[in-house]
Amino acid sequence: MTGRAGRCCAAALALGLAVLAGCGQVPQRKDTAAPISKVAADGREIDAIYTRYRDVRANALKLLDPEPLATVESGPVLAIDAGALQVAKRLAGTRPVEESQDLRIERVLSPRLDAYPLWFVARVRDNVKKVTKVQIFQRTAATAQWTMVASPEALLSTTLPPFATDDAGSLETIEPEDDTGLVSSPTQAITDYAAALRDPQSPAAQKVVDDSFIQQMRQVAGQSSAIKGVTFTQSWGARPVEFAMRTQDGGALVVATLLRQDGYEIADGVEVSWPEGSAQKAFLSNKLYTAGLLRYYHQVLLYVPPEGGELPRVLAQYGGVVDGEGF
Amino acid sequence: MRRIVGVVVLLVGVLVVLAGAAVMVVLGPDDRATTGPHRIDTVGVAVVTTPRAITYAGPTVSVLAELPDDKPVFVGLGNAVDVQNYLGGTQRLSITRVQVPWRITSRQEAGEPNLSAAPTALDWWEAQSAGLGGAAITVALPDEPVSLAVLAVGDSDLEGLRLTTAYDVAGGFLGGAGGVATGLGIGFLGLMRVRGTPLRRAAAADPEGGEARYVFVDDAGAEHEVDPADLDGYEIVDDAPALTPPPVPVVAPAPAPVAVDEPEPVEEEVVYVLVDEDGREREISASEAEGLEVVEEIVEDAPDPDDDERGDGHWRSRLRRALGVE
Repeated sequence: MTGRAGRCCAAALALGLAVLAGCGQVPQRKDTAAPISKVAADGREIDAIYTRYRDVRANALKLLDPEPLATVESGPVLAIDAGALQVAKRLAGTRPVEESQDLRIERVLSPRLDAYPLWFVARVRDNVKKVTKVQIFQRTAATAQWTMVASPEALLSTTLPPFATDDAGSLETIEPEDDTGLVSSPTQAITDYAAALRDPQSPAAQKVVDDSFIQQMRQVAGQSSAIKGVTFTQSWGARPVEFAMRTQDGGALVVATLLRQDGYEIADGVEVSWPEGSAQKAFLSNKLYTAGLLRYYHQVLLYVPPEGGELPRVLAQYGGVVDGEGF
Repeated sequence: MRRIVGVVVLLVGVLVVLAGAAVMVVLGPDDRATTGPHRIDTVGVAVVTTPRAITYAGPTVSVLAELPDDKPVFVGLGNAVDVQNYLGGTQRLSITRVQVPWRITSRQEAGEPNLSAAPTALDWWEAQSAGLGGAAITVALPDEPVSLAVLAVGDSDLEGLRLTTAYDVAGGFLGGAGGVATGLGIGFLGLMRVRGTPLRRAAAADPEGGEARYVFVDDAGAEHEVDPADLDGYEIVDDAPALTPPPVPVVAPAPAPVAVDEPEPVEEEVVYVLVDEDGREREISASEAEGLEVVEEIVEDAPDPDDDERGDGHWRSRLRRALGVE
């Protein structure tokens, strides 16, 4: 019994362990302490979402009809694009409208989120406009569609700080009020930026870089102020920050929307005519006699450097008229 | 102590065998355990598991939801973040705990009486099915938190709902068999440990010091030779004659020291042979050989005349000295 029994034992053990090792998947108990969350969208979903967006947008541009856009865009970016299409449609007789697109996704990153709204960011190269777009797609509810809600554009020559990701490859996000490791929180940075646009002499103007966007906006305001017989006023505000992402250098990229309001008070006996093809001509009456008001959205990509670094500055923007009235 | 260890090992083996056998019986050759149908008492439009209710990942689960009168029904599994956002505002029966094979804990939650959107219109279900009178899904439970939802479609409700679930564990039956085999192996080891019948080390293979042999003596007194490689667990009792200085293998528990005597020298047999001038040989005694020149000749492997006479077929070495005369 001894030698044979020993060999039987060994054989039984070896066989059993081999079978156990090779048998199917053993149920694993989940980590009950793990947060309930999900990656906003995977690659397959994103491909489908972007393909649909590209097709619908191309169709809307072709028809100069903002209505289809509402199925793939929402929020400020829809307002800006719809405004642009409205301008193009009203001025179609006087200005050739020919917009094509060649959009290619360079990188897509999704954060891991524990509740709706879900969102992800795509860096897209537009070979027609020669810009890089940083586009945010959002799903506000489980029953809603994915729509694009932001699309600031940077020149191809602009270097965008790379996004930081966690160990699983998910985009690292920052709470709008969190200033950990930053020169200021995303909310504070965009508030300072809007204040700097409103008043170059304000203390807040010293907290942001006097970048090309601020200079362009001041130049436009200066041109409007120079119209004789017209009192021009301009105000700026910022919508609450929704999207802030950590960069690999420890800073943050903040996608925010600025509201700009241009007011025109016409002096008695003066009439103002707008140049052909301008947004003012499309939204305001052909001639202004009393007053006019134009509202703009500007979506900006604001870089907030890490603590001890430079000041916040805008790297990309996308904006346009969204509303207007005049008489 | 040896017996206690043996009993413990034996019990472990038995438990492993029982567990493996239980898995085989529960799953069967198709690797599937089915339970149901179970009636769910609800008149609402939604039955949904909470995010922590499904605690396992890996196995494939099939769920069949049935409603009477061919009422339309939907079954879907989705990420808990999606499902909670979708159904969080709906009046529903929340299943907070699921114990396999079928034991659930639930609570009724208030909300809107109708779904905010048709479940079939949503694109985030990881598995979904809809049908009249019944719908079924089969899905591998992912590692992420998921919720299972059974929903009424249209203006219907879930009154009369019955659920049947099946758990597929790929290779589970084979795994159970592996458990049985492993348990048997462990059990045998324990059994041998408990019986602890000592091994006897048999005499050396030859008196000049060959390898030791080990013999197991069973209850009937019969001896069985054991391979030295299989000695673990045996108690070694030295039973070898004191002819050879045995290198005793150390086997736990260590055998008692054995006194070993020096082997007695084997007396060599010497034959003196006188060779005369004619070359003839004549055997002489040792005393006669004194004073003569002795030429030593060793004869190896020569047949022993005695052995030959005995006819036992054995040969032994023989030393032969031949005497020469000048």
